[in-house]
Amino acid sequence: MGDFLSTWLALTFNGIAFGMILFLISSGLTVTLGVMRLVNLSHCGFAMIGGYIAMAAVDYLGFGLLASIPVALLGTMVIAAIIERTLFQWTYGITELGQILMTFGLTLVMVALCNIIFGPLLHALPVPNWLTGNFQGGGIVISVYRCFLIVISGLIAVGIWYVVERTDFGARLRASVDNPRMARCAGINVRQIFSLTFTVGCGLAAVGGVLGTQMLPLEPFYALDYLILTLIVVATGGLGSLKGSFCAALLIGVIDTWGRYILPAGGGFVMYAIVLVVLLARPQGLFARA
Amino acid sequence: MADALLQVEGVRAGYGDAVVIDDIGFSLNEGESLAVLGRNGVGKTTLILTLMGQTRFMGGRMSLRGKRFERLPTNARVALGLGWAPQERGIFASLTVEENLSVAARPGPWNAKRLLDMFPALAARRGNFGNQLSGGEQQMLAIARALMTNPALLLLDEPLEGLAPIIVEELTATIRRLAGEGVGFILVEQHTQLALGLARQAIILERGRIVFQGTSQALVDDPSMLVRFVGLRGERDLAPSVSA
Amino acid sequence: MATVSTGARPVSANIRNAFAAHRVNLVDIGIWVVAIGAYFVVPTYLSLGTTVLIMILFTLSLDLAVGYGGIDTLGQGAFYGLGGYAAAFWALNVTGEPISGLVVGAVVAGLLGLITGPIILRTRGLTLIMITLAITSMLHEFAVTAKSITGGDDGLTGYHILPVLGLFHFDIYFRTAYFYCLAVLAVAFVVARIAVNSPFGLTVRGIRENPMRMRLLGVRTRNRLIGLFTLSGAMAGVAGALTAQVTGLIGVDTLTFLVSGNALIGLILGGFGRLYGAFLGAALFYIFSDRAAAINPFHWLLGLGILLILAVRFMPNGLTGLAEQFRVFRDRRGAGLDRGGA
Repeated sequence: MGDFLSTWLALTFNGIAFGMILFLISSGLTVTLGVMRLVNLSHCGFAMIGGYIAMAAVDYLGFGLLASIPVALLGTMVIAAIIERTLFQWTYGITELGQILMTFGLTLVMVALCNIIFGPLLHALPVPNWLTGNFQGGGIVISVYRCFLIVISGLIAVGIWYVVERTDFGARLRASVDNPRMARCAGINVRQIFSLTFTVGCGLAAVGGVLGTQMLPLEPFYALDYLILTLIVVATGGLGSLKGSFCAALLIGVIDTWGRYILPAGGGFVMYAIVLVVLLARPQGLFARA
Repeated sequence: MADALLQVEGVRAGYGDAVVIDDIGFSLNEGESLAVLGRNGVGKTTLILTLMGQTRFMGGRMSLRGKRFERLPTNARVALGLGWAPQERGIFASLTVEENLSVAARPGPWNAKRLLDMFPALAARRGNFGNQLSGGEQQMLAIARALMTNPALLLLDEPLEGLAPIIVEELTATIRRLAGEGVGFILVEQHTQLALGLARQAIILERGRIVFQGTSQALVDDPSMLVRFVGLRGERDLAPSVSA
Repeated sequence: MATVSTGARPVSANIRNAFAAHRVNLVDIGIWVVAIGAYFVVPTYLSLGTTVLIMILFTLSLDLAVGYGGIDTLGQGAFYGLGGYAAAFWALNVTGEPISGLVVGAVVAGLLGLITGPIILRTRGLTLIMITLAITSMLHEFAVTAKSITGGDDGLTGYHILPVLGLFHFDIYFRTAYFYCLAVLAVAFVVARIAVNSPFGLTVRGIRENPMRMRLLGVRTRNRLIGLFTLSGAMAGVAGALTAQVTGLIGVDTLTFLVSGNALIGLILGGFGRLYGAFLGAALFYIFSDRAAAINPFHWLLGLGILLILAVRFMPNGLTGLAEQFRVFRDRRGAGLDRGGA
């Protein structure tokens, strides 16, 4: 196979892996925005927290990467539930600007605490032995770990799809996103649905954070560094649309990866330009709901 | 003496700082029906929304079967027994007809099968998404969905608005049937004569207050109130054979 | 029906009315007394003082957009950085004369506002925020990549700024710089005051409170907002130009959303929609951040985060602007939210 083609295939593949991680991290935010219209800038912080919990499990409890996932998941969900019951009560009923500032404040707290506890250095979680190395064939080189990422994320995405589209809970969730007022008037406890969804969303972000450290290394400013990317995925995909953020995440993952290859220093430019065009053409996002 | 189904006393409500309805008081017994009449903007929908908890509540008492509910959140009121078919229908666009029904399901005699039997047009479209239905079908779905909550009291806000005459006939027959089965309901409706034909009791609102409270028959016999507050032009606007 | 036109009265009448509308009081005088006094009282801190003055100007520009125009933008850094690069360019390639450099910075940044304004103001809410972020990020990436023009990561430097008005040399103690910035800030403040209290400004405030009604009254809402946005951008550009001139360096870190974020924090502390809120908030924020960050940057972040959360929640004096926004919004939403928290 031509050199050129194999490079582009490898890039696309890496882009998809990156996009999958982005989707995992953004999925929770998209639903939060869709159901409660809450602009939560601290969302990436939960991905970071998940990553750090996993790191603690690996470093201090001797867990392997895969074993640390459930620990990170549970730990992050507990923290998310607590924060939602307490701090987030203050975010309901205030302006968008207020929500932005308050959740931004929370993000800063997360960044500071992670630095105080874990220090400022970059960390990537170690890949288990059976996932190291590359597949080679026909001139293409693909990292085993990234393959694994795509498969796992794909499975999770399918799981999310199933819950949202085929279960009772999913129907109530979709109703809440479509029309929260009517949902309440049909007897749906929108409050409870949101709490649950928020917690699970943060858990998903945590899983993304744990799995993605090879591409998104852990460090205290993680929560801010990838915030813009996450917001872009959600805004381009359409608020409240999981299908939208899935497509947007993949698109942005691939474009960003290609962009950085073509223009190493300013590759992000291409991505931002495309995002701008999309948002101008369809301000409500690619697949917006309500 | 059994508790009235719905008891409303001195209710005052509105939006923001604006008071839209004031000093509202009435009661309804089990299986009874009430028409709420009045010109546009007098507060008919606000009254319904206040019962559901979607306005700014400023005072008064409301109870359903003796249980006070003015402090309950909306979904708790639905659990208590209030079912609502809104003016704008509010069908969930991302849900199918069947899902629109199932998300509202509560225990009781009304279920999806029974409702789809009652509305064959909906049954034919059970897999359609909410935004793939005609106006009349959406209205049927809104009423069916309200019934899925197995309400003690059904609130119908302008169910016949903007529908083709044949659909209006169908829905009127359905509501009559519900009345016959003992389902209590409050009906806000611009089609005054139809409303009076469907509901036994009636109140007229004017600028947020009740100016008439009594039986529909009384209004039919003496339409002067209707002329004055609802804008009818006289007896000619009322069909001769209006009976519940 | 109210007629709101800006050209009907002579300029002098407008200016007089602008000042009459907001009577000059102790607070106003106090601010300038403090600013001038600082020069004498803390002569060793003039470098910090100069930064604070520039940041007050920048925060003021943001207040015009957010506090008065209701335009929730996180992209003010774009104007700031662009103005700075333009001024640095001017000094490097044309002349080191400072005042012309300011004008260049204002014009270039204003042009960006004029071009992007119509695009941006077609949207609102999160989309608007995202678009302003995207534009800022694009400029950032461009600045990093186009090394030959912008100096890349190193930024632009090595230019020499001539004395202000040919008389006042820039010295290493920031003495000239301080008064230079103070003078510019004073002028900008006057301009902002006039704009805000003029018929133009009043219509803009009306737009922020009730856009639908203003449209019905026949006011060209979009054009006015674009005008305000442009003015706000030009002012931020001037702040950037000042930074470039006074520190002799301009870099890519000016083109980030953190810059806007800092100014927003200043506004939260000081209060939106009241011009002197920018003074108070920005001064507090930048002085604290300078001192505290020097001690321990992460403890500073922690404190700032907590402060933000509490400020947004409780907002005592100085935050009355936000409190008003909250109340109005909450009451409007009260109609759609059931009481009791479902």
